[in-house]
Amino acid sequence: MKDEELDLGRFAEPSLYILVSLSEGPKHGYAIMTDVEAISGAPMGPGTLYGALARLERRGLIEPLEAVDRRRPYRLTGLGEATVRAQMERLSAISKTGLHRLRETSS
Amino acid sequence: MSALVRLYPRSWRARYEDEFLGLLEARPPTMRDRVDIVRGAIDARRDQRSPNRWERPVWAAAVSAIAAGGLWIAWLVLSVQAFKVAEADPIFGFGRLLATLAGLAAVASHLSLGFASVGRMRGWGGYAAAIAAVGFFITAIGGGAAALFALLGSIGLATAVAGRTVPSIVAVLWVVTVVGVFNAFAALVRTQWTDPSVMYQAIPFGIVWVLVGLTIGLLGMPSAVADGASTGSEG
Repeated sequence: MKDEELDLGRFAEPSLYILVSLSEGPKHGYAIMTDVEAISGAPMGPGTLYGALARLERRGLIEPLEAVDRRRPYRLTGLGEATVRAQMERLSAISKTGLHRLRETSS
Repeated sequence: MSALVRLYPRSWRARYEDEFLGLLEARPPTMRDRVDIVRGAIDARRDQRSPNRWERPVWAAAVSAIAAGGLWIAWLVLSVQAFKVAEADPIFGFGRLLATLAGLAAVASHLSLGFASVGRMRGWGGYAAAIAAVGFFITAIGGGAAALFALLGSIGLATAVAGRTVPSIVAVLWVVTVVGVFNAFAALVRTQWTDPSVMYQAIPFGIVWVLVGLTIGLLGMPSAVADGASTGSEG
């Protein structure tokens, strides 16, 4: 998932956290917020959450399910799953490279 | 709390308000959350496109297309008149004024065409539009050599827009428009720039864009155009 392709702007990072959260299974807004806070260690505001959800839905990365008692769960689409997988692999490669270089520098 | 939610566009509220209020009930917002909600509302108003196309900028595209078509015609008519006046008027002042107005019309027309097609100017298509606009402007005020840049810019802009809007009718319109510009220039070259009225051959393309604008305004935007605009298109 290239941010410039999806044009997510300031929602790029929150969107990634949401995709990671939904990779566990469908969740509604409140559950996503709680989970993202646990993953990132920082709270996600409701305006940011719904700004990101709207963009992800529009790009076909997530889809809404039937609302129950004013709570509407969202789940990853096939495209969303492929996108988050590609993004995780990219971040993993960056992480490995960075750690490797740090080890080389310190040794 | 509903007062804050009312800051969001009506169409956004129709889609998300119920679950959004449900979330705020489950987790009462802090002051920081309230600021975040206001920011979210500003973002939603800037980004008024969604899966159900809430408040997509149809009116802006329609007005842009109509303006582009009108300015296109104005550019051609003013250019021809400027040419004729310049020939008849030894002082050349009025002809120069007409030529400058023609150049401004060409610039505004091209920028409007780009906006009407893809919603905003961005990327290399945007640079191509700028080159076309400046090229046409310089050509109109008397710099014939700039016509080459104008044509190259037009081709670049048309390619960017057509690539983004395929398979919608707008892509076809762009190709046809560029062919029209080529025809007009080819006619000018054939007559060795002695008969500027051949530029009138390109007027129908301006009329087409006006009709496109009216169609967009009445019937809505072709889906491929809306998708292109929403993904940060070029042009």
